[in-house]
Order: sequence, then structure tokens, then C-alpha cells
Amino acid sequence: MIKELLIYPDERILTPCTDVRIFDSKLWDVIENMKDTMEANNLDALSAIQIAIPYNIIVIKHHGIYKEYINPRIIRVDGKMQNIESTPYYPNIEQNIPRHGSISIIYDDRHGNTHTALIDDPWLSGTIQRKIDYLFGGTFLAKLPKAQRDMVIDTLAKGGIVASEEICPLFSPKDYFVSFADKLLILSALSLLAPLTTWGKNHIAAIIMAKNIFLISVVLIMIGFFFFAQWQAKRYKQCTSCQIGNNIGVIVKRFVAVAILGIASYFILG
Amino acid sequence: MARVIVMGGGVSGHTAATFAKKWLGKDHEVVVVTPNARWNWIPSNIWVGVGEMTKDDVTFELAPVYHKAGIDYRQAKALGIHPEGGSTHGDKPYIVIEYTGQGKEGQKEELTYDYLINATGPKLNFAATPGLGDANGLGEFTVSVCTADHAEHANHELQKIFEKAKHSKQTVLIGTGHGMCTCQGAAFEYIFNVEHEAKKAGVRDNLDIKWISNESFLGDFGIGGLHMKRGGYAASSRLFAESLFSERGVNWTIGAAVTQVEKGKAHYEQLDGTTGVIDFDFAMLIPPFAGVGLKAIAKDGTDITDQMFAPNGFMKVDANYAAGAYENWKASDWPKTYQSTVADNVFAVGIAFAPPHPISKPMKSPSGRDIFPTPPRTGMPSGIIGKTVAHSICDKILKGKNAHLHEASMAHMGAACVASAGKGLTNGTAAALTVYPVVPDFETYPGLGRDLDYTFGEIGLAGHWIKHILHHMFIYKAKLNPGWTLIPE
Amino acid sequence: MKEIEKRIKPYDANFTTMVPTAFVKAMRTCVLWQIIRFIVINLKMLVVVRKSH
Ligand SMILES: Cc1cc2nc3c(=O)[nH]c(=O)nc-3n(C[C@H](O)[C@H](O)[C@H](O)COP(=O)(O)OP(=O)(O)OC[C@H]3O[C@@H](n4cnc5c(N)ncnc54)[C@H](O)[C@@H]3O)c2cc1C
Repeated sequence: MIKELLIYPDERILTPCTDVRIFDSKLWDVIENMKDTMEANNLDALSAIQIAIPYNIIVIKHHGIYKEYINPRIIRVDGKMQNIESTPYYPNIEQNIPRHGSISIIYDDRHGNTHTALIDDPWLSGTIQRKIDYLFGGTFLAKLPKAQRDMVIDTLAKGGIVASEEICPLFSPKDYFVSFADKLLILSALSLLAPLTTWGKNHIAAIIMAKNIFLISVVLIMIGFFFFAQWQAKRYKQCTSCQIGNNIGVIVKRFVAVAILGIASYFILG
Repeated sequence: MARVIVMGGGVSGHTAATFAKKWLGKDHEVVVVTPNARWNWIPSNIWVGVGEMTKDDVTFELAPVYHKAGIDYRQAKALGIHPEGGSTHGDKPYIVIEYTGQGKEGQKEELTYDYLINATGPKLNFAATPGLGDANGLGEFTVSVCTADHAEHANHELQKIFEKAKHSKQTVLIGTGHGMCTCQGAAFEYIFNVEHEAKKAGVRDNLDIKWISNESFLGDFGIGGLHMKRGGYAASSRLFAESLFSERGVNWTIGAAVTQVEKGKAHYEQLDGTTGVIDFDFAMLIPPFAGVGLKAIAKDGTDITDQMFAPNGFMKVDANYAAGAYENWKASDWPKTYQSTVADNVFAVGIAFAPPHPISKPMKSPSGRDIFPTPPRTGMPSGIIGKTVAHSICDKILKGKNAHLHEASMAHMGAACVASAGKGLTNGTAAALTVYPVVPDFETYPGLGRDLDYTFGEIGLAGHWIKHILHHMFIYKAKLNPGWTLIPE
Repeated sequence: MKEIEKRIKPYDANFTTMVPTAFVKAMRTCVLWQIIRFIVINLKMLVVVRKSH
């Protein structure tokens, strides 16, 4: 039976797979479905997870012959090469991926008998490595430098795949956290002017107390802000202003301000 | 008045004995038979092995603690169990012990019991691989960090290598010393602590650090790997481990059984049948574990060791040992009450019980050599099992023989593990991992066999702080200082 | 040569592996961030410990 292929951004591809433990007709059906799907889509290689079956199964068509690798593990590697690769998961994307020229693997056949093989055909070796990445919950993009990975994701996103609800909100409730924290910081800064006044000791002590409470509150608000922002970032994946780096920046700035005010007040207010 | 004997004062035995005494009070007797004079918080031995802690930091004298608790402490090693009685004791079961301290070294004694807990942990089976360590444990060619003494010795040798590395290239090999080792976690911690210390000592550039293990993929850890949620999806510990090894510049050889060690050379065979030799200047290879070799003797004097113990020397308990091949393994094969198959007043806890089967996929090289991790039983499960069995026994004593046995299956138990990757208050790191359950349960959680909501992993400084706090917390707890029962296992 | 490049030599097992970016590595020892993680990890571990008893 021809199955539907997982295509970006379907996150099921990131599911790590389990070993096959029972070698019976169910397994053989999965393998047949994989082959049918490969024929229908004109593919040379497929991992079971690419048709949403989270088991360690790979089928590869090499020189017209189907090879089945169940529970494969790479035991040894040798040599390096740059492999130009594409995969149906990221349609129309080709990338140069670092791979090993030759690998030694151990795997089971469809009856559960274990075999080992030294694979030094560069095409087959590279293909097995790419398919095994899928089994462990990764795609080939994980092997690319971050900048390049972002570029690929960007290109894919511009291809119209981004769903409309993922557009970044212009205003978000998390801004309330920031604005409230900033107000507290300004009030705390004002407290440093207290020695210039002629107020009595008691007044000044109360001001110092309030300032301390404000500073601690800022820290707590920022922790709250962090969790809220994290939760929000999960909802808006494409939103750059929701990204963790920005949020950390916001938090670090306020923490620095708290530290400076704390130190300054120690010296000024005693 | 009933007497409970606990053989082995390690993590699980100490937990069982202290809780049993607390629950039984003055009316019943709790005896601990253990050959060591000091209690050792084993996970911190890693830091002794790199000179960041001393033996005194990770051990304390047992006698005063047991004295305070009212536990009868015998510094002795158990030799055999007579579950049906015999000798001068009639039907009363007893054990034979041989003192190793308290001024009675070498003396033998017979101790009768009403309930017996076997918590004797592992025998460090160096002899399984020729050239690995020696009979006394302190290796000639390789070192170990499994006991505080071994770790001290390891550090001594390591410092020599650091000294040499100031002038010349040195190779450090760390990992497992046999095809069927467990405890990859300890070797994992050690390799990254050595790497961290080498950086601090300014000799990292002259040190080639290599990893060798029997795992079929990096990050298996004897539990078939684990999967953690990352931004809404699961990531495999393989990606996590490979990334850490690369970042820290550690080379790896996996699916490998060390078959023989000579001076400066480790011979190995890999799952694909290749054999090879790694040259080293310093090697810390974990030995495989076996049971400590207790004998079991029937009333008429016949040896029933093979009924009471599995061939590897671990005690058979209420597990399903007949599960057969990998495909038939079930979570329900794992023991729940830890009651011996031979005597219903004998229990085995911690590493001492025989697991029904491995957790990782069993694998063989073409020559037929088994190369895969055997199941680990880490500190947290060991402690929980010890406490659960103590609970069962106390109920039997206090509520009557038919009291219900408490259950603690590793298939319903998580493990929280913090693996140090370098010590330091502001530059230390550790990987904090939890898995739930330890033994994958494919019936309850189809697919991965684990509950992803309770399985996670992360590396950072926070993990190191936790590890350091745990060190103090567990030693505090083991010393039975005020509030000790509030600290979880 | 960057620290990472120094470590990755030809024919090593690890050259095809992803390595964390400088940012990720800095966060691992950033005290402020780690204080937050400290709280979170402790809570998560407590949940697992509770569930196991
Ligand atoms: C280096 C290292 C690091 C580790 N790190 C971690 C970690 O970070 N986290 C974690 O969860 N686990 C860790 N572990 C595993 C953990 O130490 C074990 O799971 C735990 O100690 C098992 O407890 P146990 O009581 O079964 O055995 P043990 O703690 O080994 O205790 C066995 C006791 O029995 C005694 N004994 C032996 N023979 C006899 C005899 N014939 N008669 C009487 N007594 C006897 C021994 O002297 C010993 O006191 C580590 C292990 C090692 C080796």
C-alpha cells in the first residue's frame, strides 16, 4: 500500500524510533508499504518514520535491488566526504552534508537474523547515514552549521508553508511585565536621591525598604516574564522577537540595572 | 523478638537497615554484616579519581552511626546462607560470616535470622578480562573508580600522566573493560571530569582522550538509550551524547568488548567482527559485575547455590527468568517484591538481585561474543528497593506473617541521574537526566516504552550544583542526622 | 583555529556530528540562566522521585 510521506513542517519526523523486536508479517507489511511508497514517489531510500512508523527500519534500492536494514547501528566509520543530499522531507532542497565514505554496520534482516556489513560504496554509505539520522530523531539539517540551517528553514518558510496563525503578534501581554519592571526600576533609582532631602531617619528607612522590595520584585517579575515568554514562543514558532535570545537580553538588561542600583544604594544610602 | 540481618552496608543495604531499625524500634534486632568500616557515597568517587575530593570527603565511619541508631554492626563478610537451618540451630535459618575487623579478623561466626536481606552489591569481576586490574582490584595496567580506594589510586596515576603531558603527548583511554559491563554512566562521568581537569591543568592539548564501550550507540547507558523532549518533540540521547563527545574532543569506539589488556595496550573486538588494539598511557576501564559469590546450603549439607542464585552470582527473586528472547521481554518480567525464589524470608535488593534480562538490545559479534550493556541498577532504584523491602519485612514482623508485601518494580520506577562532566562552582557542568520508567514498558507506552513527560535531560552548571548538593545531602542522610527520613532516596 | 576546529581531525568518528553553538555553550555556564534551570531541574526531578515511590 502506498503511504503518505511526511513533509516539512510535519514534526512527527523528529520522533526517535524503537528497535523492532518481533519479526512477523506485520513487519513485512510495513516493509512492503515502504517499497510501494518508494516506487510511487520514485525514491531510492526510505526510513519507516518517513511514513510515520516509529521503528528502526530502512529500505534502500541499490542497483535496482531492495535492501532492508532493521535495527541498524553504525559501529565504525572511515574517511570523510561531502555528500550532496536531498530528501523528500524537505522538498526541492539540496545540501552538501559531511558524511563518512565507508561505514561498518550491524543490522537484522526481516527474519531477525543479525548481519554485519562493511559499506564502502560512497552513495550507499551516505544514504544509510542519512536514513539512520532519521531513526534517532534527527534530519540532515542537524549536521549543518546553524546559519545555513536557518537559511534553509527560511527558504522553506517563504515557500508559503508557514501557517497564518504563526505570524508574530505585534503586541503581547509579556510587554506588561517589562513595562511594570521598568517603572519599579525608575522608582528605585529615585530613592537614591533621598539623602538630598531633609526627611527624617524613619522616612529614609522606609524608602530604603520600599526600594529593596522593588528590586526583588523586578527579579521575580523577570523570572515570570521568562516563563511566559517561553510559553508564548512555543505558540509562535516563526516569530523572531519571541526568540529566547531576545528574551534573555531583556532579562539580562534588567538584572544588570538591579545590580547597579543595589550597589549604588549600598554606597549612597549605606 | 525478631532478628533482621542485612548483608552489605552499601546504598541499598544501609537504607534498608536504617529504615528497618526506625520502624521496628527497640523490640526487634537489626544486624548489619558488612566488610567495610566506612560507608562510601560511591557517585562522588569520580571526583576522588581526579583529585577534586579526598577519600575522607566521600566516606565516614559506620560504627558510630550504627551505635547511635541501635543497629548491631558486624564488620564481617557473609560467606554462606543456610535457609533451612542445620548445624546446632535446628530449623532456624542462619548465615555464616567471617570478620574483617573489630579485632576479630578471620574469625567465623554463625548468625541466625528471622529475615535476611541480601544487599551485597557487585563483585568487581576484573578477572573476566585478562590483564584488567588484578585480584585485589588495584590494577596493574588499568585503574578503576568503583571504590574510594580505587579512585584514590586512579588519581595518583592520573596526576603522573598530567605531569608527563607537560612535555609529551599522552593517550588516555576510558570506558568499559568487557563486553558485558554496566555502569557506563560512571565511565562517562570520569572521562569528562578528566577532560575538564586536564584543561585546568593546562595539558589538554597534549592529551588524546579516547572512549571505548560496549554500547551499540553512544548514549545507550545500558537502558537502551533515552529520549527527551526538546521544544515539543523527542530527541535521542545518541544525538545528545555524540554532540557532547565532539564538543569536548573525545574520540569514541563503540560496540566494543575489551578482550585483553597488556601494559599500555587494550585489545578489543567490535560487533562487526573487527579486532584492534588501542595504545594508552593511562586507562580507566570499568570491570563487569558479578554476584559476590555467596553459597547456599541445604539443611542436609547439599549445595543449593544454583537454586538460590543465577549463574552470574546474583540472587534469584520474584522475576520471570524464563522470558526467553528479546521479543518476549515484558516490563512485568521485572521483580516487584524481591523475595527469594527459595525462601520467603530472604530478599535481595540493589545490585544483588538477578535481573530477568538486559534492557538494551542483546547483540553478538560474528565470533559469538556477547557485546552489550547489562542492566544498571543505579543509586535511586537501589535505595527505593531497599526501603520497600524493609517496609515489607517490618509489616511481616509487626502485623503478622501474612502481611502484604510492598512492591517496587523498576518498570514503574524512574531514575533521576546527575552525571558530572567537570567540577567547579562557576565552570562545572553536569548532565541532569531523568527516565521514567527505567525499564521500558511497551504495553503501557507503545513505541518508545517510556513516558516522555517524565524523561528529560539537560547539561549545564545547574546540574553540577545539584550533583554537589546531592553529595552533601546523601552523606547527611546516611549519617542519620536529624531529618534524615525526609530526604528521598 | 577555533577551539572546535582544533578538536575535529580528519577520520574522526565525530566529524559529522552537530556541535553546540557558542551561544548554547555560554548559556550552560551563565550563572543567571543556570539559577533558573536549577529551580526547573529540581522541580522536574522531584516529580520523577515522587512518581517512583
Ligand atoms: C564510580 C561509580 C559512580 C556511580 N555514580 C552513580 C550516580 O551518579 N548515580 C547513581 O544513581 N548511581 C551511581 N552509581 C551506581 C551506584 O553506586 C549503585 O547503584 C549503588 O551503589 C548500588 O547499591 P548496592 O547497595 O546494591 O551496592 P553497593 O553500594 O555496592 O553496596 C554493597 C555492599 O555490600 C558489601 N559486601 C560485599 N560483599 C559482601 C559480603 N560477602 N558480605 C557482606 N557484605 C558484602 C560491600 O562492601 C558494600 O558495602 C555509580 C557507581 C559507580 C561504581
